Parts: sequence; C-alpha cells; structure tokens
Amino acid sequence: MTDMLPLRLTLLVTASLLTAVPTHAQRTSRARCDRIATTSISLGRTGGNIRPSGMRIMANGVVRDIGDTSEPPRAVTRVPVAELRRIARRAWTGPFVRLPTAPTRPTPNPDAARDFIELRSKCGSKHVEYQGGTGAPEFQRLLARLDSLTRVR
Amino acid sequence: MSRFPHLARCAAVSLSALVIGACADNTPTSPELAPTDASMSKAQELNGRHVFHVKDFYASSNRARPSRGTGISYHGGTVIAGPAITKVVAIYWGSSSIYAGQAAGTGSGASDGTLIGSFLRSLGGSPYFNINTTYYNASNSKVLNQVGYTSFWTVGTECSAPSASPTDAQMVSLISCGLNAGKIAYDPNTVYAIFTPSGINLGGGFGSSYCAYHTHGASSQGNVYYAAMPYNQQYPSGCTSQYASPNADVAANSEVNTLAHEIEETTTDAMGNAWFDNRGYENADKCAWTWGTVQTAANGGRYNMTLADGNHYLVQQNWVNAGSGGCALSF
Repeated sequence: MTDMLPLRLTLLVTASLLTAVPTHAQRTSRARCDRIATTSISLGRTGGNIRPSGMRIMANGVVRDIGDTSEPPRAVTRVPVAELRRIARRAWTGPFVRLPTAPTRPTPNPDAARDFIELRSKCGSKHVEYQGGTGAPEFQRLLARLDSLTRVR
Repeated sequence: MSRFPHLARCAAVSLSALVIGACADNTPTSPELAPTDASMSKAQELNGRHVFHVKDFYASSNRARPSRGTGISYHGGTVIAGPAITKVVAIYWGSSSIYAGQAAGTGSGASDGTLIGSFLRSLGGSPYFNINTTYYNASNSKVLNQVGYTSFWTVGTECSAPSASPTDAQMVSLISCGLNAGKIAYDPNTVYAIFTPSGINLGGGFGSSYCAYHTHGASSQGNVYYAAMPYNQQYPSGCTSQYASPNADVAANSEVNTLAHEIEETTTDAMGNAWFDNRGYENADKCAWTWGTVQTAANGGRYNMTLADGNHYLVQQNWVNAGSGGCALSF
C-alpha cells in the first residue's frame, strides 16, 4: 500500500494541474474579453439605394466617419468614455441584444435606407437595423441616445 | 486491493477535474454572441479602415453560403416574365427641361433625345439586363432580356406642376392625368418613370433616405408600376458615384444608375412580394454602389459598360440568381 503513495500523489498533482490550467486560461480569457470596456458602437444608414454613411464611436471615445460618402466635419469628435460605457452596458445587458438583426421581409419602401446600430467588442458583435422609425422601442431609445451624444440629428 | 481499480479511480478523478475545469471555462455569453448568429462579425477592418458592410458585404456573405441557394428567394408574387416584357414610359415632370436633349410634349421612346432615352433604348438585349433572365415567376416563365422604351412625356400645363415634395398619391394622380389626357398609354407591364428637376423632394425622403424608389398604385385605368426618379445629381455624395462622367452629361449619367436599379427591381419584384432575400433586399439592393470592373474613358470619366448605343455608362451591378448567386455586370 505504501508503495502506491507516490503514484497517488503524482495523480493528484496532475489532476490539480489539469484543473488549474483551464481556470487560469479562463481568467486570462476574461481579462482579455471585457465586453463593456472594449465596445465600440457604430451607427448610421445602410441598405436601400442611397450610399451608406455613418460613424463609429471607438472604445476610447473617439468618433470616426465610416461608410463611403463625404460627410461634413462632425461637431463632436470625441465622447466621454464613461457615458459610452454606460450605453454599452445597457445595450449588452438589455433587450437590445435580443433584437433580430434585420427585417426578414421587404420594408414598406425597400429602396429606403435603414438605420443601424452595431456593437463590437473583443467578446463579439451585434448588429441591428430597421427602416426609419419602425424599430423596436429599445432600438429607438438607443439610437436617440447615440444621436444625442454625437449630435448627429 | 489491486492497483488497477485505484488507478482507474484516479484517472476518473483527473477526468472529472478536466471536465469541471472545462465547464468552468465557459464564459457566460448571450445567445447573440454565438458564432452562428447571422449578425456576428459583419464589420471588417481593411487597412485600418472600417469597411461598411452593406450590400457588397451581404453579397459576399451570401456567396459564401451556397448551401442556402442563390442568396435570393421567390415568394410567389408578381414578376414581369415572358411572354410579357418590361416596358418603360418616361415622364419628365418639371416647369422646365430637366435633362439635356429633352423635347417638349410627347414622343416615342425612339425620339427621346436625352441620354436617359438612349440608355433605355439600349438596356434591353444587353448582357447586363440578361442577369434578370435568371429570375422567373410561379409558372416558371423567365424574365426576358428585353426592355421596351415606349414613349416619353414632358409634362406641360395639362397636369399640375410638381409641388416641392410630391407624395405618392400625387405621382399616381399625375399618371392618371397623363392617361386621361392621352399623353401616355396604359399598360400593366410598364414602369412609369417619373423624373423631377433639382430642388424637388420626390416622395419626401430624397437624399436622406433614398435616391429613387419603385412602387405601385391604382391609376384611373388600373394598377401601375412607377419609379420615383428625383434628380440624383442634387446629392452627389449620397446619390452618385462621384466619379467623373464618361460622357458630357453627368446628371443623366448619374440618373441611369438608379434608373437601372428600379427597372430591375420592378421587373423581378413588381409588387414587393416576389424576389427578395432573407433581409428583405431586392435584387438590385444587394449590389447597390458596387461597380465591378471600372474603366477610364478618353475624357477621364469612369464606366463599366458600353451599350449598343455606343455610350459608356457607370451602372451598379445586379444580383445573379444562379449558382450560388452574386453581383455581376453581365450574365
């Protein structure tokens, strides 16, 4: 029986190590994947037959133009990071992330552009688009808040 | 006590530890973050620039899923398919001439002196319009590669001049007025393309929501398909390619791009219940603002097709409903 102790000890140590490795990986993964702090938010128009345009609020608060139209210089080039994170937290944890990506049938005017919001983080992304004024309440609220923050409309 | 069962027990403990560890490693994520979510990872970075994932993104993403068909589906509705062909009547609605070469009054499509007229006369039979032959109706009749440019009408005093922002009801009323006055003829497979000059917000969302659109309405003589065609050059950044024109008429050259878009969509989805994809996009929507191979004309303008009239045009690609689908300039 005593000659089995080293073997038992070895197996226990091995088991402990094997358990510890994924736990460490998990912690590292979580550290890398801070959904709120790494979120950037894009918004603008897409679809239909008008050229797409929009902006992207980077995780550090800097606002950049996206799309392929020449927009006039923006009044707001940076937003408060704290406010951005408040918006990101609400978006990731509220009903917004459960909204469908897009309508699955033609909108009343398929040639009209759709408003879109897209969250991107190191943990994943979420894109939602609706034709003007037809979005779910949570989409409209988030869009209004982002519009207010960036003074787009 | 044999050594073997003990080893087995230890192995089981180790395995359990692994399983527990693996389970513990599952960072809680919402279903929306699952890799299978269609909304995932649409945004792409190219050379540090955010690539806008609009029509061309969906086009490429659909191409990447051949198991889901051609990327566009038939929903049982109206298609202008053989033996019928798509016809066009151009209605120029303004108090003065809108495009170079535009004549007053009415005339056959053959006598329209505008670049738009020349484009309409040359669209049918082109490799470009042939893309639409990949679409069919419930009787399995395919769209024909023909476009009949029937006539034009420069609206005079016989009907009301456009308001600052004409509504759909006013557009249908205009068509009825023209039909009743004998300026244009009724045909159920005709697209009545209504062109307005700069400064007219046709439909109310021009330049902010769309550059043109197609729909249908009840005229005095029956259902009509019509296309609202505001003056695209009024919004160069949103409604034109912003490339130099390959010919001397930049406004008309910009306009034919969205005109082709609306004719293609009317042909394959006349009532909004025929061909569209799982996001609600019609064929031309899926390829808007993508040009394929672009060439430079002698005058420095850009073009991607030369039609039978000998003119160069820059017109968006259209969705091919064959194979695994995709945007193309010809079929």
